[in-house]
Amino acid sequence: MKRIVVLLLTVVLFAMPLAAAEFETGWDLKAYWDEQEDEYNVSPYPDYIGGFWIDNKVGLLTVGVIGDEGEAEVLRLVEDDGSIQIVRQKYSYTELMSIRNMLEDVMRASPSPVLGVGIDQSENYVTVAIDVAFEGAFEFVRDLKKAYGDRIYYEPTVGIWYTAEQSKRAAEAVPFAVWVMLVCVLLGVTALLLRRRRLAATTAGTTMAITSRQLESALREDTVEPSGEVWEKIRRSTGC
Amino acid sequence: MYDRELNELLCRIAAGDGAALETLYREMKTPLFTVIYRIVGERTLAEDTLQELFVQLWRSCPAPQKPRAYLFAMARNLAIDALREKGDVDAFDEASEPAAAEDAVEKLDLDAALARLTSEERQIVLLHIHGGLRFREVAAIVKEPLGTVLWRYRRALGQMRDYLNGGMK
Repeated sequence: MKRIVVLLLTVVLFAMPLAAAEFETGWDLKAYWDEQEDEYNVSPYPDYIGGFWIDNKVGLLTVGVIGDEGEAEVLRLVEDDGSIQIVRQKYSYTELMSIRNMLEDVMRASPSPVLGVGIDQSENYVTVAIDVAFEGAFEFVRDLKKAYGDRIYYEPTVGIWYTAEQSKRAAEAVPFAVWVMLVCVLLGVTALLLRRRRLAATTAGTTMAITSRQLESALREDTVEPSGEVWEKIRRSTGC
Repeated sequence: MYDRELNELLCRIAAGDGAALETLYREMKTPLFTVIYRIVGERTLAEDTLQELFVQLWRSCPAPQKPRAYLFAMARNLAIDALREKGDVDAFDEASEPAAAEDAVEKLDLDAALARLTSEERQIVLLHIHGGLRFREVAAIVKEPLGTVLWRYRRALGQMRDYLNGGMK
């Protein structure tokens, strides 16, 4: 039932003309698209978006756009164009995501020359870690380069658990790894509980941490009124 | 109140329309006074500054391209001048920094959280939140690059959240 609702919502949202949407900042626009990301590995962004990332040099949310139309569309949707930085990119996030999905399928096969896949949104390519020790890895990369060109960036890596001996040792190490994970989870939960208790003790009346939006909203409502005498003084000074 | 309406009022004020000045005061007194009060930190001084702002507007009313930004720039500059005249430009910062930490344990004290910010950070937050100005306009008023203003605003909100959430540094 949930999946059907999500699917229907996705169809309705994509069918709605985006022309009606207005967003105050680039963050709002990104959040709007991100909310539409569903569990089917479908790109949440329109085809004129290459990606979103933070440019640490200027401290701004940056959006990669495809062509003049993409830039114009983003500027039309975002009210505060000072809240974003726009750069031109070659490939859409949707296109890169389809390549990533394909490579993930390859990675799931066992054995596989692909050890890891991801999308570098600022560089506008798919990164793929290739096990160079895998038989046929070079031919695989050659074919990928032929098919996808500079849409993929290759990171040569030495295979993990490649030999039978390594695989056996890995299997033996699993119980230990599970224990380590359990301890980490317990420590994390304890830290979280301690923090919540501290917040409860120091923030009277509420046990919830205030978010940026709540803070902005509270500040907006927290105004100060001048006394009624001020206008009288202005009136006397100006004679109006 | 939108820029178009503000422009109309400023034009009428320039033509000597006292009713327009009263309308402008009624519509803008709260956000302007909030910004001024939180910069100077004292009610009497803030009220004198607000009065000075409207008297100056009456005497020479300009026709700025962005009247809202112009009004808040004026408010901010007059508030800083008032503090300087009082010879107390850092008083608000000094008075409120470490001591305020204990008060906020008792309640969500926005004033104490605001007071912990630096003067520049507080101005950026006030101009954006109460002035309703875009970051680009705030950057022009405080004469800082847009990136710096955005970064300081986020940092200021983060500091206030930390303080209000009890995670005092």
